[in-house]
Amino acid sequence: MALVITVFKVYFVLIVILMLVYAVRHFIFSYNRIFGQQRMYYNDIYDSELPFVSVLIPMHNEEKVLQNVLDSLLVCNYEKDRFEIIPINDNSSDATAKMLDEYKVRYPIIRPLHRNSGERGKPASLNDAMQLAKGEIIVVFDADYRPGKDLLRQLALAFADPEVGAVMGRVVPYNITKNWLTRLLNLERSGGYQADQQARYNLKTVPQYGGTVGGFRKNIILETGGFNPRVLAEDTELTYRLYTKGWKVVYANAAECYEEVPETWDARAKQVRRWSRGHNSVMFRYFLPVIFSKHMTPREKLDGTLLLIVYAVPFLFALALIDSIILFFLGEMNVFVGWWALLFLGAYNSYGNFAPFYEIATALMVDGVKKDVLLLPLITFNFYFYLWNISLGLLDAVGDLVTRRVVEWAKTERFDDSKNAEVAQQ
Amino acid sequence: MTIIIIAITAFVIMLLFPILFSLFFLRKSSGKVLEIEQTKIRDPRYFVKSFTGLFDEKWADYDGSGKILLSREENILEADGLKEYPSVCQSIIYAINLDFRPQAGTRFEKEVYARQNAYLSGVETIRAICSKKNLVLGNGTKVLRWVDAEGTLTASDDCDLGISATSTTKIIVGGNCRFRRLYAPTILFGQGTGEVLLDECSHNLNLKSTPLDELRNIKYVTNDLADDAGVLAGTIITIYDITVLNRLTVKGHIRSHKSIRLCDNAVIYGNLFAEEDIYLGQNTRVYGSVFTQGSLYAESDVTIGQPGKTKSVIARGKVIFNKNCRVYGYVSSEAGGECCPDYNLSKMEPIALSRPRPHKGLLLKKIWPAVISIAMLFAIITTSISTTAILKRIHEKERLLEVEKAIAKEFTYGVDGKPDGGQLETIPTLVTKEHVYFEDRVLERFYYDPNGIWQASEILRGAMDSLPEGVNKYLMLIPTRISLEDDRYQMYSDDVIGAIAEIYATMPSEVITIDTANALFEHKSEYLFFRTDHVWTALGAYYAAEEFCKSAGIGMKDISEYQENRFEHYIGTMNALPEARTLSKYPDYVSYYIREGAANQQTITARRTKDDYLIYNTPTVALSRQGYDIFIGSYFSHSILYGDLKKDKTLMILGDEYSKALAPWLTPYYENVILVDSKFFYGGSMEFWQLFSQYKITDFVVMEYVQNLGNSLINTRIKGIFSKP
Repeated sequence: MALVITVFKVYFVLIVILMLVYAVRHFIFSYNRIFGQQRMYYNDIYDSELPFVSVLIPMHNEEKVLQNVLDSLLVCNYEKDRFEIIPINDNSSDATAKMLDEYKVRYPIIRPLHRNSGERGKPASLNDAMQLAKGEIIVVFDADYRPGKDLLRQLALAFADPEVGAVMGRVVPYNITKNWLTRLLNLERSGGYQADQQARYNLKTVPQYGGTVGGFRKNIILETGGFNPRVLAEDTELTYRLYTKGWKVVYANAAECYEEVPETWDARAKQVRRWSRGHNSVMFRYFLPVIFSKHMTPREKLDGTLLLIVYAVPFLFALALIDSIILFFLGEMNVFVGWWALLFLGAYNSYGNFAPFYEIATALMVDGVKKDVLLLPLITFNFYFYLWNISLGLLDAVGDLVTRRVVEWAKTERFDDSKNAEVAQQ
Repeated sequence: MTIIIIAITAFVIMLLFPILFSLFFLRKSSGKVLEIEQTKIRDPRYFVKSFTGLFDEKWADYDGSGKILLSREENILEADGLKEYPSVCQSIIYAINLDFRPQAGTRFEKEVYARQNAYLSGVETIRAICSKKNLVLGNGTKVLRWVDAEGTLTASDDCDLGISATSTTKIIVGGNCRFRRLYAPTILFGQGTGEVLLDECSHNLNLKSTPLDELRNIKYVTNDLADDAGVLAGTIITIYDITVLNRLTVKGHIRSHKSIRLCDNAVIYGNLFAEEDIYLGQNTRVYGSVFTQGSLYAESDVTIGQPGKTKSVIARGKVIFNKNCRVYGYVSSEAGGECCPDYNLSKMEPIALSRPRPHKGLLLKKIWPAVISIAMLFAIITTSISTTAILKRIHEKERLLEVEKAIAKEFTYGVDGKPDGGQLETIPTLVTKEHVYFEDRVLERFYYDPNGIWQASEILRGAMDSLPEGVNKYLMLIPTRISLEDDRYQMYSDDVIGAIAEIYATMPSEVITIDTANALFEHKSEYLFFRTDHVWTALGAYYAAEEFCKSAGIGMKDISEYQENRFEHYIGTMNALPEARTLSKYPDYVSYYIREGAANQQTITARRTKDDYLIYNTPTVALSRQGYDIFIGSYFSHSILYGDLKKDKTLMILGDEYSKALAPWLTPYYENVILVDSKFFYGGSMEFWQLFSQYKITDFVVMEYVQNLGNSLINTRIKGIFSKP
C-alpha cells in the first residue's frame, strides 16, 4: 500500500510540475506578445518574381460553400499566370463535381481534380493533387474559407526565405454570432493565433502549420513520401517532418482568412477528438526524432516537445485529478506542504494547459476586442469539455497504435449560410 | 454547522460570480466578427494613388471657390497664377500647366499636386508632394508624409524623405538623406544628379525556389568551397555568422540565424535573409532581395536587384547606404534609413565596416514592461513564500495537535492503566525521607509534629477569634493522598486523620470544621489527586466543596450539571524531584468544569512587592497549563471571583494552592468569593480587613493542606494578617 501511495504521490507531483512548465510557457508567450519585440514577417517584400503557386482545396460535399473560396481566389492580386487553383472533389455525392466543372469552363485557371475512388481523406487528396500541381509552392485552403485579395501573395512571399518549408496564416471565425460555443471558439482562435502562434514565431520556436491558410514546398513533401493517409493530423505531421529535416515553419499573422467554426457541441466534440487522435499519433511517431534531431535548436526541441504532447496532457491531468482525490481521501495529501506549495500555486493558477486564459486575454487586447475578456470564465466549461474529448482522442490514438487499425478520415460538419457570409464580407 | 453552510455558500457564490457575469455579458452582446480587409492589397505608391485618385475625382466638380471637399473641406490654391506663396501655406496646391517652383523659405502644411515638374529649392518643410513628371527636392527639404514622382525624383543633400518616397521611374538620393520607405524601378544612393550612372546589366538567374545543393551551418564561403572561377553553386543555411570572402560568387540564397557579411566584390545570385545585421562590402552585388531582422550596412558601389525586376531591401533596424549604391525596387527600414551619413561625397573614403554586432532589442528602451514583470514576479514570489509560510505553520500546528491526540489516545494513565490513577496496588520503587516513589506517582510522607500541631492550632484559633461576630467560620484541612491509600501504605506516614482531628478539637465551638478526609475517602478510587503533583484535582476539590456545602446548609449543584473539559499531558512539580525518573512517562490530565450560564470571571491582584500591584481579569477557570496556574491563575495576592448569587452573601477563603481548585465550585452560592493566598498575600493586616469590610464577608473559610501545618512561613503570615492593625 505504501508503494502504491508513493507512486500516486510521485505521479501527482510530476503532473503538477508539467502543468507549471506549461504555465510558464504560456506566460512567456503572453509577455512576449505584449512587451517583446515582434519579429518581422516577409509581407513588406515586393518581388516581381514570385513563385508559381498551386492552390489546393480539398472538398467533400461542399456545394454549400465552395463558391465562396473560389470566387475569393479568382479576384486575388497574385499574378494570374503565376498560380492555379486545384479544387479536389473527394468522392462528393452532392453537386460539388458539377459546380467545379462549371467553374473550370469559365476559368481556365481552375483545374478540378475529381477523385471518385481510392483512399479518401485530406492527406490522400493532397497527395493526388500534388502530382497534378504545376507549382513549386502548394497553398491549401479548406472549402469553407474566404481568402482575402492579398492573402496568396503574403503566403507565397515566405518562400523567398530558403529555410522556410511551410507558412501558416491566421484564421478568423466569421460565424461567431451563432451561439455561445462559436463565441468561445472565437476566443480560442484569437489566443491560438494572435498570441500563441505569433509568440512562437517571435521566439523562434515551433509555429505550427495548421493544414489550411498555409503553404509548403511541394518538393520537400514529395521527396519524403507525401502525406501519410493514415495520419489524421497531416498538418502537425508536416510541421514535425519539416523541423526534423531542417526546415522552418513561419507564421504570417497579417495573412488573415475567414473560416467557419463548428456551431454544435457535437460537431466540436468530434473535431477535437479527431484532432487529438491525429496529434497524438504524430506524438508517438515524432517524440524521439524531435529530441534527437540534429537540425532543431534546443529551444525548438523544448517547445516542439511541449507542443507534441499537448494533446496528451489533458488525459494525464485528468488522471492526476483522480489521483489527488484518492490521495485526499486516504489522508495522504501532505505533499501540499513547504515549497511544493509553489508548484501547486502555479499549476492551479495556470488552470490546465489547454485554455491558457492569459494568452486569450492578451490576444483579445491586441485584437482590440477587450470587452470579450468578460467571456473568459466561460472557457472553464470548454476546459472540461476538451478534457474529456481530448482524452478520448488519446485513447483512440493508443488503440490505433496497438491494433494497427485503419484510420478513417471524418470531415467536420459545415453550417454555412448566407447571413454568415454577409457578416464576414462586411 | 452554520459556519460550514456559510462557507459553502460563499464558495459557490465566489465560484459562480464570474460565470454569471460572463453569462450576462454573453446575453447582452452578440459578438462582433473580427474585421479583415478582404480587398486590401499592398501597394508602395498607396499614398499618392489614394490622394490623386480622390483629388482628380473632386477636381472635376471644382467650382473655383477656393475650397475643395476631399476627406474634409480644404482650401486650395492654383499654382499657375501665383508668383509667391504665404510663408506658411495651409492650402492644397495644384499646379496644372506650369512647373511648380515656390520661393525659398516656404512651409507647405498641405499636399502639393504638380502635373508638371516640381522644383523645391529652399523649401523648409512640405507635408506631401507628387509630380506627374520630374521632382527635385533641394538641399535640406523635409517631407513630412510622402513624396512621389512619375518621372525622376531627385533628393539633394540633407533631405528627409518622410514616410514614403516613390517614383515610377527613378529615385536619386543625395548625401545625408533620411528615409523610411523608397520605391522605384531604380534607386540610386549618393550620386549627384549630373554623375554618370553605373553600367546596368540584367541576368536571367533562374534560381529554383527549392534549393537543391544546400550547405548547412558554415561560417565562411572561401575559395575552397568555390570552383576555379570562384563560384559556389548552392544555397547556404547556417546558424552562425557567415562571411563571403572577396570576389566570390554564390549562385544561391544565403540564410543565416545571425549576421551575413559580404566582402568586397562578392556576388550573390539569390536572396539574403538574416536574423541579425547584414554588411555588404564595396562593389558587392545581390541579385535577389535582402531581408534582415537587424540592420543593413552597405558600403560604396553596392547593387541590390537588377534592372527591370523588383527586389526588396527590408530591415527591422537601420538601412545605411554609402556612395554609389543602387537598389532596383523597394527599400524599407523600420528604424529609418540614411544615405551617406556624415557625407562628403567628393572626398569620402571607403569606410571600413566594423565586425558584425548582434542587433540590440528594443526591450530595455521601454523600462515599464520590465518593471511590471519584476513587480509581477515579486508578487508571485511573495505570495508563494507567504502561502508556504502560512501552510507550514498550519501544518506544524496540525502536527502538534496530531501528536497530542496520539499521546492522549495511546497513553495509559499510570502503570495500572487506570485513567484516574486509581488506588495503589504496586510496591514503591524508592522511599526517601520526604517521599514514597512509585513508577507512576510520588506520595508525600506526613510526620506528626506535636509542636507544629500546637502552633497551628493556636494560630488558627486566634484567627477565628478575631473574626467579627455574625460571620460564619469554617476550617477545612486537607489530608495527604497517602492517607487515602490502603493500610499497607500507611507505614510510610504518620496519622494524618488523627492530626486533623486534633486541631479540629481545639477550635471554638462556633467554628465549623469540614471533614474533608472522610469525604475524599469515600471516593478514594477516583482521580482525586494528581499522581505527579501533591495537589488535588478539580474532582477532589468538588467532593470537598460538597462537604463544605453540606456543613453550610447549601444545596450544591450536582457535578453532572457541569461540562467537563480537560488538558492532556500534565506533568506536575513532583517530576522535578531528582529521584522521580519515570514520572514523565505517566503524565496526568487536568480536568476543569464549566457550567453553562454561570459567572466565570475573576479579578486577580498580584502584589509583587510592597507597592507593585498587578491586577488583571481572567476567567475563573484559567486555561493555562503551567504548574499551579491550571486552576485559577498563578501566584497571587488575592482575587475576587464573581459569583452567581446576587444577594449580600460573600465568602472569603484564606488558603493555599488547594483553595484555587475549590473556589470555582462555590461561586454559584455567593455574590463574591474572595480568595486570599496564605502564602502570597503581602497586603498585611490592614489591607486584609479592608477587603473583609469592603466585601462584607458573611462566610469565612480557612483551609490548609495538612503538610503545611508546621510551615512557619504560612503560620507567620496568618498570624500577621490577623494581628490588630
